[in-house]
Amino acid sequence: MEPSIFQGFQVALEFGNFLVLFIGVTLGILIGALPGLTATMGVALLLPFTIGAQMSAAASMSMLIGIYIGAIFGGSIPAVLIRTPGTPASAATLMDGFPMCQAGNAGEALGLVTFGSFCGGMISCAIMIFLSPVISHFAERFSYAEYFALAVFGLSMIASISGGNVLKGMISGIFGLLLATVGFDPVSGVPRYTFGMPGLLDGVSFIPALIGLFAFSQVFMDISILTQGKFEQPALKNMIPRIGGMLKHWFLIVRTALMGTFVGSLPGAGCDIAAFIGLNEAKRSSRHPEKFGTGIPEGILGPEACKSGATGGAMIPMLTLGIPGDAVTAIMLGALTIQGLQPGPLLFKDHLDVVYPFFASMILANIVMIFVGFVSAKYIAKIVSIDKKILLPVICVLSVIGAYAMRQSLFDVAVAIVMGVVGFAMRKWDYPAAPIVLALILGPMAESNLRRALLLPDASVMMFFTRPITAVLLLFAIGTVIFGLRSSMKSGTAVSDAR
Amino acid sequence: MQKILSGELIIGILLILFGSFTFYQAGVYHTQTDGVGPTFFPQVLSAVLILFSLVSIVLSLVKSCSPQELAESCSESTETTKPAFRKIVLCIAGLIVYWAVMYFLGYIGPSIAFLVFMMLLLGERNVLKIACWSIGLPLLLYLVFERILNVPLPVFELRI
Amino acid sequence: MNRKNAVWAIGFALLLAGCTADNTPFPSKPITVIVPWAAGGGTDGIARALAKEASDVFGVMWTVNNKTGGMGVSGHDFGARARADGYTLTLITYELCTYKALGRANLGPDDFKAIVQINEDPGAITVQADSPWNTLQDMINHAKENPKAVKVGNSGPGSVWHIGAAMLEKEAGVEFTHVPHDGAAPAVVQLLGGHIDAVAVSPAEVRQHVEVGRLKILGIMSKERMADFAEVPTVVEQGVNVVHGTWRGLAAPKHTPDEIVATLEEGCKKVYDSPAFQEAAKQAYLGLQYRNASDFQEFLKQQEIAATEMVSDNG
Repeated sequence: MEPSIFQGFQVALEFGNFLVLFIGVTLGILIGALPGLTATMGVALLLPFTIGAQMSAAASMSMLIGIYIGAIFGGSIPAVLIRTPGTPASAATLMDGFPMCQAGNAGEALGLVTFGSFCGGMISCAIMIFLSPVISHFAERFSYAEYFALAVFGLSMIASISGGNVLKGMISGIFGLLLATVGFDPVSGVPRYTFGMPGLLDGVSFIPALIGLFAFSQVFMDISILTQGKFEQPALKNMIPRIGGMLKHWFLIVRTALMGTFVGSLPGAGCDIAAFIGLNEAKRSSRHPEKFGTGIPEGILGPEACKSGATGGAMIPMLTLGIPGDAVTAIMLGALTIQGLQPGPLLFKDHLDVVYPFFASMILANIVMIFVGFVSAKYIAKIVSIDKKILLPVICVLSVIGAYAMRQSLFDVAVAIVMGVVGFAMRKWDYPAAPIVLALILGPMAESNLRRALLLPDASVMMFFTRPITAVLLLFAIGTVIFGLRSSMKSGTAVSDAR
Repeated sequence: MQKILSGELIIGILLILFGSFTFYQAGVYHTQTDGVGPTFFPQVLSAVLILFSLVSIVLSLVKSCSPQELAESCSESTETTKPAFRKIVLCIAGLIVYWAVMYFLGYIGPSIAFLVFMMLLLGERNVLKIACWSIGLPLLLYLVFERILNVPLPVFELRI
Repeated sequence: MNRKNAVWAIGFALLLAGCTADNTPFPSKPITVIVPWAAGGGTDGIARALAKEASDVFGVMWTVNNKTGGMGVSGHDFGARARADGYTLTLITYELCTYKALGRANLGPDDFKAIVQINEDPGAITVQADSPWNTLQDMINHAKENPKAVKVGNSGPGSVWHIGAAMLEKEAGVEFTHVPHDGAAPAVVQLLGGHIDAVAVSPAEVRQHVEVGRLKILGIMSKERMADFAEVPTVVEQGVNVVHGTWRGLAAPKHTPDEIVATLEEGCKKVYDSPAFQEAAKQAYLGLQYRNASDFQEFLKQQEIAATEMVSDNG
């Protein structure tokens, strides 16, 4: 009998497989929610466990998929509640999620995160199941010039996510791009700005920098507010999210999910880039872009749907080409290999009995995720009501350990502390932190691909105009910058009108 | 008001110094290669950073001429008072000591000490609460990381 | 408060258990294998296959920890500085022998005590299946007529495959344009998309695409033809005298006590010989090559000398 998706569900729903999937999602949410522990790390840490427990291929993939989906969602929980992204991809959700939570709507914010994530994940699953070969063919057309243009498009969003002050946003972004050049140059292999410190060879570690910029700077900020006695515990209202209001934005969700799926399917571009693209798209298509950053639903749904869309997308090159779409799928690829399966073009031909349960697990993981997310939102939201005198020291210790855990290096803890001071200074003088995150993600991609493109013997500046994908992406970038400048001018006048 | 202005100026000057340094340093990485070498990107970025910082300084000077706008930028709730600033500095100092001591004494002891210090700093006076959190959390994290996730945390060892 | 107390009590008990464990014979707690390259790659595959079997042989859990970045320097450096108690081992690779020559880090085989070598993989030149070149000589002839026109992707600047392609270039007296990537996989994608003309990576890394007929291997840089690719001639057969490949092996920090290294060597030999490990390596098309501790240490020394010569010759 031909294997079918229904058989896939039969396998994935077997008691043992479903149990580990459920545990995987729950554990993934926890891992994602802890600052410093990313989806990549969660999957890497649990992989030996699945081997040690002698799990079958289906069970171990169920667990790893569960962790992946759970962690990508879980990262947004602390982003919304305490302004600390648990995973880099959540830095975009934070910008509207945290203000919404401050306004007392923690439950609703978490509901939006859960719902956006779920929709993005499900839509990308559908694309993955039906259109994998098509998408992967399109992704193959991406060469160096295209990747460079994609990075430029991403960086152009600095103009639209900087809030009111585009100049300061750009300064932040360029500072971030300079930070991103630290370490071995990926094209010539020359170490730059390392000053003989082995901890810098791989660049300024991204996760510790993020912890410093967001977690530590927020702690310092809160200390300041707390000391001045201005602090008010946010009230807890709207604990139960309303789905009706979310469905109003269905078109935005579908669009961003599709974009996310495609971005995820490009090797080297993953959830973190997708999240910012989602935010940008939400803002661009909004009728009131100036309200972004004040805590509006679109500002959460857009990045969340796009980010989760990238999870399904990242599976596409892994399944069709045997090439990982991001760091997490790289580890899953390793896991499949250990199970004696080589993902790639042959898997689709010879092993549909593995591919279908894989698809089914992806869908089930998303369903479990929305279930766990909605059920727990009410309780998790209470974190914001913990006494700050206790919560701040706890966040400090969690952040230190989180910065350490990624590479088990005390050097990274120092990076986090330094970036914390930098981040605090930036907040004091209104320099937005999000452009640094974007620059750290996209800087290496922009530089190395531009240089690779110019290395080729047939290179010329004309290729940025004559290659269709490149030209379109660069046009998007220009459009984004113009839009960003216009909306920041608009919001500037709006503020002075209000006074 | 004056504070905000001088702050903008200091940041602008610091950024220009930083940009000049990275520009100079990038020249060191010059190599003979095809296409664009490792020097190009950092130098362009440094130059743009210096340019933008100059613009930012000029803008803040222009702003300072119009008192109304300056008042606007001061009305932020983010202003830090002196006692608050002292606490933040103490917190940063605490983090640095915590980090340095962890190298020698491992993770558990310094974490407990740091938590106690921070809670006292923030004005928590309930001894039972302090004791529970400062001992419970490090041990819980130890369990999660060392035993479940198998991530080794720093331990006490004699270093020469 | 009861729950808190319970957590405290359990934690304390575990702490005590951890302290007393030090006097028991080696190994008595989980062993970590540092992999300097990304999860999912060939090195990672070897490490995980090894760890899976070694957990049974040694009776303690072996875990794999990927410390990537800095062209492998980060991981090798971490492994060399790890506690020399045999609980943190490193899966060292060819690149370790090039760091000093390339001026990347003051790090070499001398910083490690070799345990066993487990793998050796040759390089290969691979092109698209519909490429006009059918032999290595076709490609070389084209490169001779059009210097720098042939775009050859590799897995990173100064990586083992970059050096391999440079050796080929030098032996054949031609000039390529080398395009470095972040690992072999992105290079293969670029070849699939037709953006570069060839890649210099190991046969295992292109095997699937060869089997489905999208890529073809022009030549393999091994001494003899490989059993899995018997129809593909070696580079030497085609008149270019290049034999080049990567290897992977297990090593401990240099101050690790000899008896611990001996225990590890003995156990790893068992792992290497186990049918399950052999099968796993075969599945992943990884070439197996065993060297014991002293042979491997000697081999490392030679490799470093050879790599230094190669780098200074090729600039």
